[in-house]
Amino acid sequence: MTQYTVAIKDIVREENLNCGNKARALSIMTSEDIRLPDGICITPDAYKEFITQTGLKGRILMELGRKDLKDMRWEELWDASLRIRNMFVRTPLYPSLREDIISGLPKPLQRKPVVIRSSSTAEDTQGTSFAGLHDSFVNVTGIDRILHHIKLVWGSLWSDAALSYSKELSLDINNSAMSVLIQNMIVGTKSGIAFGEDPNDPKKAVIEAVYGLNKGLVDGDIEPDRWVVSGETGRIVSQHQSAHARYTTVTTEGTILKKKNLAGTRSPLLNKNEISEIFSTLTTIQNIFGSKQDIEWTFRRGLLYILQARPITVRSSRDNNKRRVWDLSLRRSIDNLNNLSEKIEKVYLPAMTKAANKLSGRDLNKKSDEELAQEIAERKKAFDYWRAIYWNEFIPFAHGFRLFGQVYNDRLSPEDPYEFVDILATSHLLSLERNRALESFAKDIFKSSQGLPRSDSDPVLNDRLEKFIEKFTGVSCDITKCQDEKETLLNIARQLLHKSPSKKNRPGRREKKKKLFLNSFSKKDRAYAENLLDIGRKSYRLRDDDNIYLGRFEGLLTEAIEESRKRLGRRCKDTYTCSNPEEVIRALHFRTYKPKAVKESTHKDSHIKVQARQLRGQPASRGIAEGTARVLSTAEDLGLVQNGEIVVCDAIDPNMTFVIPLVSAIVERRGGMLIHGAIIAREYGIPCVTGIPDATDLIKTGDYLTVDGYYGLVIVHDQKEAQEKRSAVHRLSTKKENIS
Amino acid sequence: MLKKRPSLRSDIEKLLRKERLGVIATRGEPYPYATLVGFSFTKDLKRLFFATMRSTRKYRNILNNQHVSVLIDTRKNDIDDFKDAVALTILGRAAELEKADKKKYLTLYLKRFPHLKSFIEDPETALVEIQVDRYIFVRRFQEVKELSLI
Repeated sequence: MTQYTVAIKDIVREENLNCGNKARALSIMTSEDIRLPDGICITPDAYKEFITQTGLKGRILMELGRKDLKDMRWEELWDASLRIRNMFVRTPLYPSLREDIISGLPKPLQRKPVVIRSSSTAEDTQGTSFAGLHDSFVNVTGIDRILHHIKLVWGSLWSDAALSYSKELSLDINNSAMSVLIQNMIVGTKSGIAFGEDPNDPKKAVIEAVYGLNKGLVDGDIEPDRWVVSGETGRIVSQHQSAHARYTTVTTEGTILKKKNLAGTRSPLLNKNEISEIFSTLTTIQNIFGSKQDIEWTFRRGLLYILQARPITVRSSRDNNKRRVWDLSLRRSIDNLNNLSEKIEKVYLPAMTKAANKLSGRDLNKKSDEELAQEIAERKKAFDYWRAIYWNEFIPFAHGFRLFGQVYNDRLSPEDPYEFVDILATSHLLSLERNRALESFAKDIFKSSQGLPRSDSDPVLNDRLEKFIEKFTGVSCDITKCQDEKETLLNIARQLLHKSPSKKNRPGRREKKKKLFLNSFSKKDRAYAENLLDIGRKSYRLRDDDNIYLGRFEGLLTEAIEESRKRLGRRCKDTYTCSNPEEVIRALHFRTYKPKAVKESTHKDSHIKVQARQLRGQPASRGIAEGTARVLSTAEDLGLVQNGEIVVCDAIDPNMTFVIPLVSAIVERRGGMLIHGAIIAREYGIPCVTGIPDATDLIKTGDYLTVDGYYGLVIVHDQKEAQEKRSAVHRLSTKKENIS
Repeated sequence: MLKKRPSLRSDIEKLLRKERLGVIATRGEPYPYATLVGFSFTKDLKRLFFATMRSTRKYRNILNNQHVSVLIDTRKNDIDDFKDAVALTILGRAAELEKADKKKYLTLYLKRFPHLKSFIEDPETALVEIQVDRYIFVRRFQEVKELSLI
């Protein structure tokens, strides 16, 4: 034992030492002669000293202070967590702490592969189980790798999942701490879990088993063999045999999922004696702790080892926060993401395109009111269907680039925790493709036109604009429709010709970083790294493109509602009156029915003289820009955007990306580093700050802003400052013109 | 769905209710002069009051220049302050209350500071009113909002 380390077997004797319940449970079981891997615990004092001595404590606090955790979206929680994790990765262990840990680590553990587990002082208490909120690592070898992973476990005290349970965990910078268990790695031939109480029948227990390590089972990637047994006697009540197609094993570092040669694996994984031994050990453990337990076990060379035990709780059924349960379900393993990727690429996206093509190009003009009502219903149904797919399949797939980002940061410790985005970004994003097409379209039409072209007086131009809109939105235009869209496009195209070139991502740098990432893996693990990069890129691209795919259905629905508005005339008082499809359908069916208005969301402060001076959000794309604010509240506002302005909006959606090449910065109410607006901002090299809930209320079009994309700050200058700054910019541009 | 925060006005009122001391800065020559005072305020947030002897430097400064700034904050001198502390800077114009007005607002002041009764009844003590022009509210270290009353 050293100042910051203690042998697991000794924890139980140290009354004043809180190494977390996971560590204490292991210690108690060791003292009761349950077979467990040997190991030590790094006490929570080591964590506390580390964050205090290195100044991390203050930095974490500042990160958490950006916004109330309860107000953060899952993406924002993940961002905060990633930044904190990177702080731990980049902060070296100071010499005395490093020496203390090394001297407390028994020699065999310094040489052999180990398992490094989190043991938070708040998790796994009776009645509250928060398993899976913090990180654990399997198969780590060598002092430097162990020390690196200790920091990762410490950092995971602030994981996104832990942050979303911060209230229940009483997560607090002064009182929360993390201890770390370092144990001998037991590479079992078959492993699993045992659950002292069947969730469907409290009188029964459940045993599950898989080949190899149990990581694949815990992650939900491998279907296990399953036995339901009597909770009293251990008698087998029922059993289910799985396909045994895959198993988890060790690789150079960490684990890997492999396909199993199915020959000879048709019989159940555990024999009766083994089931009996697991059940009997489970019962012993339950007697020790006096409560039903959930244990993890493994067999090596015929000997049963217990890896972990914790009290059974039923978090998911007790957690009334459905959104949070859903957020936590977004964590996916690489294997799960590979399956999802194939499904999205080969099934969903082609089906979406086919469905959207089928709906577009229908002449709504020629439809009767009844037929138009049917068309709206059909389009609404399609939109709802694909929106559900979007939430249930596309959004979870976004975990692909989260996973990539985490691995990239763990291996390369970059200064910018979002450096990985540069590798993921490729020029194939649909919105960028569309913007390039618009730029070339702009050059083309202005070259062939004299003066300012107008779509209503130029049939050729009108035709080209309609085709452009149809190609990228799926909405079919004719001579009377899409007039606003056409004018907006023309205005943007006109300004695109005069904009200064933007600082876009450089492909050379991207390639260099990619090589650095891949070379950080051993040859044996290179395929895994390539796979991770591939999934990262696909999910990153989809995160952007999915908005466009889904946007087509939304556009089609809007198109049909627009047509209805024209027909309903005065029955549609304003935009809000005829925006609910059900109301519009009813009005089309019944000539006297007046559609009810959807309530306009208001976020106004009750006091009219409130002004923002500085607003804090998340730094989503680096850089600093100054300029005049353009608040986007309606689609019409898009057409008003001027070169160099700063766009302030709820969220950049696919229909807005046209204007991004013109603007000098983006400010969004919606939070997240990897949302559409942030992705596009990074692509164009302009600063972006997200997650300022009252941005569109407190910032007015015409305000002069400074956007700091490094720190996540938006400064609203008062009139005097704004005037001075505008004059300075004017003087500078006049000087430039004179020089040129 | 983005949640709506309580209004800035209610945040300010809450802070004024919670804290009873603030630092007032008056304009001296050559240095600005900062000193601690106990304050009360009206419900409409238009006025703040503090008591001072007429012989003090801040009182003299106010006679020369009515513009003052007051800082009220919730710091605990702890690292958590960088996350949790809020600060309010009040910009306004200060002047001693005339006799009739003093009587009117004295009750308000003494309700907050009953232990200052003998101090405030001293003939040398002035009850100073600050007419607030602006409140500048800072939270989360860098988030700054302004409530203007003029």
